[in-house]
Amino acid sequence: MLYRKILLSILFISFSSYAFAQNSSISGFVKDSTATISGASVLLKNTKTGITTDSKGYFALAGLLKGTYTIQVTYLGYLTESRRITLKENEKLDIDFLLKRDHRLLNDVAIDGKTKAREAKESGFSVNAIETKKYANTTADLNQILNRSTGVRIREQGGLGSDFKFSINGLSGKQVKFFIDGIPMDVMGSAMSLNNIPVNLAERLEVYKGVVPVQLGADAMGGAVNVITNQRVSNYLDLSHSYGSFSTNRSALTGQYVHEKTGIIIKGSGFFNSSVNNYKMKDVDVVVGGVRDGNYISDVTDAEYVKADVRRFHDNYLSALGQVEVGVTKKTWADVLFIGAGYNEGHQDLQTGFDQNTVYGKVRRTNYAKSGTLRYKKDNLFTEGLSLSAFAARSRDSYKTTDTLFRNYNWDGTWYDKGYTEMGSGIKTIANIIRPRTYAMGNLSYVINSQHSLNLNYTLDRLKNENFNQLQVDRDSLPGLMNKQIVGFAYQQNLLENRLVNTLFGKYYHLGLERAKYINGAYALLDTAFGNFGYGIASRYKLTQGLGIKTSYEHTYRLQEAEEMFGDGLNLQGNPDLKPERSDNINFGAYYGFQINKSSFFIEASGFYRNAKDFIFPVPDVRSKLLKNENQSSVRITGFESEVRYNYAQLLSLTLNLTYQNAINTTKFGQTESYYVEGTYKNKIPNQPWLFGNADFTIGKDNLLGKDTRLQLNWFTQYVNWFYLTWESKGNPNGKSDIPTQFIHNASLSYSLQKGKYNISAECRNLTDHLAYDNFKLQKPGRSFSVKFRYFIQ
Amino acid sequence: MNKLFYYTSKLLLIALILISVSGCEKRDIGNVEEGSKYSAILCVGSWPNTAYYITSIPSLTSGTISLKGNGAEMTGKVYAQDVVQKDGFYYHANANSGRLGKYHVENGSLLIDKEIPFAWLNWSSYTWADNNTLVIFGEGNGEARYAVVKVDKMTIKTGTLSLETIPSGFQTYNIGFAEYRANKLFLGYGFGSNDWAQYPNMPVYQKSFVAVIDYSTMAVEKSLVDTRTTGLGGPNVYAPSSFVDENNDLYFISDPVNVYDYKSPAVMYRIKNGQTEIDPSYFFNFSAAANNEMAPAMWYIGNGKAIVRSRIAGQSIDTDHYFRVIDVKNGSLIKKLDLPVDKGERMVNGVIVEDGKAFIAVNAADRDYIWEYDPTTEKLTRGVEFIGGIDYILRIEKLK
Repeated sequence: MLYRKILLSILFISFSSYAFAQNSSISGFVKDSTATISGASVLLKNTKTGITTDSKGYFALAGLLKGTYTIQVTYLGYLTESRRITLKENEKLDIDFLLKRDHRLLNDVAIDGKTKAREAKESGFSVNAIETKKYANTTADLNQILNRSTGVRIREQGGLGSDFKFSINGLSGKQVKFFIDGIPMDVMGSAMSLNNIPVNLAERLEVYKGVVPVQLGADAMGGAVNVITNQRVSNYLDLSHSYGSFSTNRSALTGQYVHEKTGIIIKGSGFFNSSVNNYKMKDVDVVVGGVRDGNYISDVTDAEYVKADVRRFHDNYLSALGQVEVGVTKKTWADVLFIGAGYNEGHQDLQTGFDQNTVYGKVRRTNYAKSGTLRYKKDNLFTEGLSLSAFAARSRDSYKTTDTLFRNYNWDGTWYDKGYTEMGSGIKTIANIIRPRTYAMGNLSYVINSQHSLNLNYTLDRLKNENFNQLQVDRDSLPGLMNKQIVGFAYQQNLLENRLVNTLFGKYYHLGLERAKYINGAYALLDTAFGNFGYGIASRYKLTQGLGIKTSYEHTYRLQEAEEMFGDGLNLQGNPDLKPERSDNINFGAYYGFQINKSSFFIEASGFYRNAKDFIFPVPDVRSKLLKNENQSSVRITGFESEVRYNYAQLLSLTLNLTYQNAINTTKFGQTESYYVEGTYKNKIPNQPWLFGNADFTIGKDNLLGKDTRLQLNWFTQYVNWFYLTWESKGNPNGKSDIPTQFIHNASLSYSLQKGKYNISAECRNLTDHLAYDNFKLQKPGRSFSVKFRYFIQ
Repeated sequence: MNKLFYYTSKLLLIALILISVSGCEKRDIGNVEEGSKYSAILCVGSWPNTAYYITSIPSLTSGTISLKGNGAEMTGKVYAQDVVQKDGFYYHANANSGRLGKYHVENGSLLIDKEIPFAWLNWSSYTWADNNTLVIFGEGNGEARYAVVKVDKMTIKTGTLSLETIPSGFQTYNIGFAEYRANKLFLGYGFGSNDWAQYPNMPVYQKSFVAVIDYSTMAVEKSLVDTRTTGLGGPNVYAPSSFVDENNDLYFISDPVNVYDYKSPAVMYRIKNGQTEIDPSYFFNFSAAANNEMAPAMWYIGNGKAIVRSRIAGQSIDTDHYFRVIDVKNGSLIKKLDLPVDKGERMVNGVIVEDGKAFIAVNAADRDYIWEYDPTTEKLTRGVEFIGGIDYILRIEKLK
């Protein structure tokens, strides 16, 4: 009772003071050139009155006395804006602030406070949001940047352009989907890939772990990576080239021209990567003896293997991509309307197969892709608060693997006759995969009021998959068809003055698959269609301005593909009983950031849980030498990840992170019925890193070697703890194989002139020339050097 | 600032502890395996973490075998079940890396004795011409090929066999059983298709062949033809389907379903001592006698008897198996052994013969034992048990 009385009196007092004494107010929005800024601090100088802007960039300071004030608006990464105002009694002043970016901070590693990245981090989703600015002068591709963040592990087969496996909190392969500006990357073609895209093409990277917002309409069971390119409406040009060890060249171009009068915008981006990848392989088998004719060993009768260090000899890589978009902005009928076209191609020599004992000398892969796109966005469509964005693309990706020689190559470049092709086929093969695709996405969001908003997302993905050996036939007469539709609906509430944000969502996955087939000489159509419901929630609660906790959950799927269910007529057998992969994912985490003088400090920690079932794996069939996809295993992953960042103004920064993940096999019954529970049940999944971390240290100084210059040194160490190749508890420890602990050190030094207009940097990777491999005995490059030149204007 | 350093140092400490804990985690010290008369190749774990191990079997008749801390890891060295064992040495031809290797197990570790460059053929079958000479057969570049390996020094001689040419509509040789008898090699074969768009209804060539090869010259003297069945033995690098008995009579059995022939029966044939023709007076329709079952593997256990690992009727080869005892000379079924249904892998080298007794490994839905079968008393006795949840017993081997 007492409590209630006190509460009432407080309410009464505050109400009366508002009503009778302090009745003036100031409100408005804080924006930059493109978007509103949430979390900006709005302060009345020399008073204790202040507030931060909400998610829509809105602020309101009520109950003010009449008088003259200085309003100061600050936000990290932006120039502070101050304005002097005079408030009359009962006046309700409406005032907006436009913040300008602080370009002095352009090369500063300390920048973290950009609107969107911060927003993403402070959402309920478990997300790594990475501003790529600080890497812009390095030769890194996006994979190398993502590989430094928590929970992410990328396992590469070799050097530039090599195949990789991307894992988020222990789930990988087709369970992880990649997007560029919200559009699936593979819609654009094979060369549009994280191991290819240079850092300069991206402005920000977001890694959603386990729980994925409906806007990214996909069956991303393990998580999703969204690459966000520069969305500003201003002119800029970013041009770079790097050259390094193993004849590696990488060029990148991205730019935009805005015609102020008409609002017409032309955007362009492109890259070119090439490398000979002739790095040294240590302690591999070469052949001595035998009857030789040049590199051809015509008689291997007396030939033997000896160990040697040799350079890779068949690993050339080249990829190129170009994309142009033309459009208009800020029209009454469209905020944004762009049409675009893109083309990319890649050429790749394959040096090894499954392990490094399998050496290829002539196997090649090429791919070509072209795409046409349409992008539309309109805010306040028909009514205030209703926004529509839509995207449509039509693309065609073709992919060719050439394996036509009956040769067995050795690491020294010699070869001898083989009874089958290099890749093990009985016949010469030029395998073609052609994928015409139509993709469309529509997103409708409606802000009901400052507390409630809705989002409806629909994606349509139609893919035809043609597989054929062009040495036998010139097309696939029985292609597989996939028709995937995903509807997502989300409801978001911002409660308690935006301290509590809840997002509830549901997703409906509809999959239609078909493939024609000859059965007993007759033509028959195999088809299937089914739907699955997924759902989830993401919540964040801010305890204080800098401290928040968040949690998220999703029941999610990874749908089957047409080839997985019906085979591809070439290398894959069908399996009509295949079920989709499914998982229940939970994240729980907290973040805390604060600033003491020039030191800023940010810590994030989270735990995760994945309960994934019915993993689809291609299992080799010895009799037919084909692969057949089967729902083979289930996994439960629990883990913990943490990152700490410390910045001292623009001078130095340090980031440390560590990820621990315990993936446990939950396949209770193995491949055959047995009295005993599968011996690997509840064992740690082998051949998978389970403890890894990164340390990233940067020190830089402005104006050290002249006005408007910056000199910066970055040191980066990557740590992966050893892990077993096979089951931990099985087998005699004497003969067990493991992948040893690796510490890989990298350093770069960069120098920028004229406020970042001209940049030059030198870089060394794997400084100590450590033997590095992600996969069993597939060596990665040793020590390498590179230099990069970059020209940037805006 | 103080507060800041306090937090930083605390976090660094946590990170350090985590790293050091992981670094200190001990890898167990193993128990050294003693020399043993028998071994088993076991498979555990679901794809893609399927792992193979070679474990010794101290006794066939008692005890238990588990993979916990036991067994030589094969992954990374010989990741396969098609290994040929003799006198404790294992041989494997790896088609991917183009090498043929000789291996043995020591102190719980699979060691490489020697690997030689070898990509002449993709092996299907083998036979021993003598204790030091392994003859292997397989397809290479659309041809039927052979290699003769002297296993002491791992030296090799290769060549091509002039078998019947592949008829149109078919692209490959299906190489079946192989036996050496008195300076002659007998090799079962047929033709197959690689048009996988038609799978599982693959084209069937309704003829099967046995090549008679002169061992000294490796010349094919003739190919015997039969039209009553197909699939004259699967690749015997997985499991045998032929034998030469005490009278030097050669017997072999067929598995048509293995070559996608869903109509023909499994049939057993004989080539009598000294003959190079299929014995016209001998024809054992195994399927007719055994519920239309197929015969993927067969072992001679002495005294005119053999054990057939039979597979229930149907198109699948990944299904239930039984063990049946047959009378070799008369070509008749004696009985189905009263063993649990074998839920094992499709190709299992599952029988060891010693002292006139057969030891049979059964992957049961219940417990997995090696059973002793005494043909004289017809008694079945449970022997050593495989415990701890293995997936498959792929092979059991008598080492010496």
